[in-house]
Amino acid sequence: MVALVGEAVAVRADAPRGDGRTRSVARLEGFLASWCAAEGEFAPLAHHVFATPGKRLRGQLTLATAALYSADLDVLRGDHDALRAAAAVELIHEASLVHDDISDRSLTRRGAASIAARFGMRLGVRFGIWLAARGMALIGELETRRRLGLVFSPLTALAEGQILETVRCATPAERREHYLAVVRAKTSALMQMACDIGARVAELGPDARAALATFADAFGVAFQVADDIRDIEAPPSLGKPGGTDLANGVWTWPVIEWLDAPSAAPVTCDLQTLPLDMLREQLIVTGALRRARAFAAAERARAKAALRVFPDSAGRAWLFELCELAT
Amino acid sequence: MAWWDVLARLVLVIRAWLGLRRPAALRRLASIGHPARFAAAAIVPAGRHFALAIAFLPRARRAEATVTFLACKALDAFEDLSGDPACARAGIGAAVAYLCGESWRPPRGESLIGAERSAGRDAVRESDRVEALLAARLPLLRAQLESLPADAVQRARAVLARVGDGMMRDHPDRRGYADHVLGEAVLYAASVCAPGQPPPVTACLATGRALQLANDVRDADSPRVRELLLYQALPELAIVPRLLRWLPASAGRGIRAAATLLVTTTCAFYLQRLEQVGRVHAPGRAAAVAVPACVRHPLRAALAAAWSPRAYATAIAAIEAVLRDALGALGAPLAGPAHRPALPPGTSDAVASAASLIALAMELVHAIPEAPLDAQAGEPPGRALLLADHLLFNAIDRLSGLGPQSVSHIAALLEQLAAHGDAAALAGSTALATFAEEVG
Repeated sequence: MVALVGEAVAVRADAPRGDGRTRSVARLEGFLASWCAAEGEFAPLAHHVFATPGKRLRGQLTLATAALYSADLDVLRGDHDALRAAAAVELIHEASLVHDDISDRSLTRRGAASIAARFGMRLGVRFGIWLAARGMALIGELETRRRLGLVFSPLTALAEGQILETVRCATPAERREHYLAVVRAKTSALMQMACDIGARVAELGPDARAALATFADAFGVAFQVADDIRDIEAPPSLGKPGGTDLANGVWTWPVIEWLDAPSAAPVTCDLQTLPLDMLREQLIVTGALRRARAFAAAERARAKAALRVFPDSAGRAWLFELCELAT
Repeated sequence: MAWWDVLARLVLVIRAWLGLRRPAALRRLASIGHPARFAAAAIVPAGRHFALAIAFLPRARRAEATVTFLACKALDAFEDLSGDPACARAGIGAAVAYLCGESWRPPRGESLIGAERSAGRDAVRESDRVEALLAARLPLLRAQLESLPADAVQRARAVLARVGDGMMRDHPDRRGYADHVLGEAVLYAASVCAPGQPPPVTACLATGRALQLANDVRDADSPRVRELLLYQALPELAIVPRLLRWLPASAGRGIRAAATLLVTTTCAFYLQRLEQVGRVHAPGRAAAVAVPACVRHPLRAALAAAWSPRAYATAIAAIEAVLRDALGALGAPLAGPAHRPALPPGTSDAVASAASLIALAMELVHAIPEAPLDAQAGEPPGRALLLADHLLFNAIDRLSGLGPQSVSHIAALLEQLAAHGDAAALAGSTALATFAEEVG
């Protein structure tokens, strides 16, 4: 059983020994550490990053997708291509996180100092590029051997999403559209890539890949809104101080729900001028948090509905479970 | 070059320049029944800056470019003013078939006149009225097209078929649309300017995208959308000057002038708007970008480029430099001269274009401070990084389509770039050259 609580480590200690998912994620972790066993100036940075692994959610999406037509997860045993594909997506995600921390001025990540805070900003940027390069090397090897025909537009979307996030929307009417555009570019795009690469490794056809693209889109939105809610509720498992987004003045989905509510007190766009506790209380008493939860649930349902075209399988069950745990 | 052609071109340039901001005399235009006279009168209100650029071209190429441009604008009318997508597709298909000589019956372009009022815009645009009139005068355009030499007719009809096809297709995004519509038009323009020379496909498509995004920026009614479009245009802008560098030395004065005018006008449009964005995100630096004279006065730059190849080369260098400065103003100041990656002779246009983006991205990376990140207020280095990532991933996207081995080569390239500690190391790096030799 794979636990997905906040930013906590993926593999639960009490997981049954025979659990295929746990074994697959553990193998992914081991593969990542060995593939990125750096020498020279990047060695301490690689060690720092892999000492506090994340949920490996995108990697799990790839692995689960690759097993969409399998009765069990034995198909993922050994040095399977799906494992290498999952590692590639995870490395690109790790690279984006390292860069994200600099853009967002985040001093911590997964309960430890962020790479840029610990090792310096420029070295952190170069390390991010190196991580992406290691991921691309895995994809390159797969492309050469299997001609998967992967497209890299999700990476362009990811970079554009990071820029889009810095663009302020001028009118309240744009808030929701803007939020969703940012999430689709920053979060859903890489999740779509994760599913797409898994599907291509498993040689699924265009219809299956289209269904997975819909799944990943809805899953990404649900995941981000759930993440916004966690930032406000700040459970101990979050691994970073709660309210970071609010303190940075980010219009997360619960904040948008609050600002758009007819009962909202004098609407201010500058969240940073409001005391954090007061803001949290407002989000709860006005029902904004509840509405955000309902929206996440609707997107989760949309994600699950997209999976109905697939037969009951180990991979589909895994994706369903990820929907429940991550969103 | 005959003196009378020089004189004719000067007259046309002056006429086009005077007509840049003059309202279109639509009634007069509608009364013209002679194909050549109709084309000559329609090009200024329909083309504006394009008309100015076309005016510089030698006679034969000018005639071809004029009627092809007007025919494309007529297709645009069917696309934008037909009311619904199905009608638009039918209208475009029928117009292309008629212009290409596959049908004797033109579509009912007259129905588009007045339709611009219901096109969902707040104000009726003059450009829509002009395009609607062009759509209603397809027989004149076809007659003018058929008066051209056979090779020009073939070339023009081929591009109209491709542009029409691009307009009728469903595209996943605006870039795809731009590649198949304005990108095709720029590829055609390159083939008119230098017949027989393989055009620089990447630079042409980038120019097409930059022109399309400029249209979208103009039409956007939200500052948020405008800003996003400007960011999307940045990688294309970094590649556009390559179109000028590609132009062969044998290209005539008029062609040099036309190309210079087109590129400088596009750059001027973007620089003005990027400065507004820069004022929001980096107030001090945006004002510090010194826009060179050639970008401030595109017509003067075009005339200078026509006068001497040296002035042409100076204009290209100035355009490249100001675009780099503008990028620096948005992200982080880029110190010292540009680090031009050393590429082996014969490097493909696709690799060379991507190399320009990578070099700019790495310059931005090297502008990021080495110090550890702290919580202190101050200008965040994040914007330089965002732009660097934007350019880098855009380059990867372009390079990844160059064959199954290309992704492995990209990985090796990125690994080498990541290892470089400073800008000088990047300048001396052979990573891009190796990539170009192995892939491009």
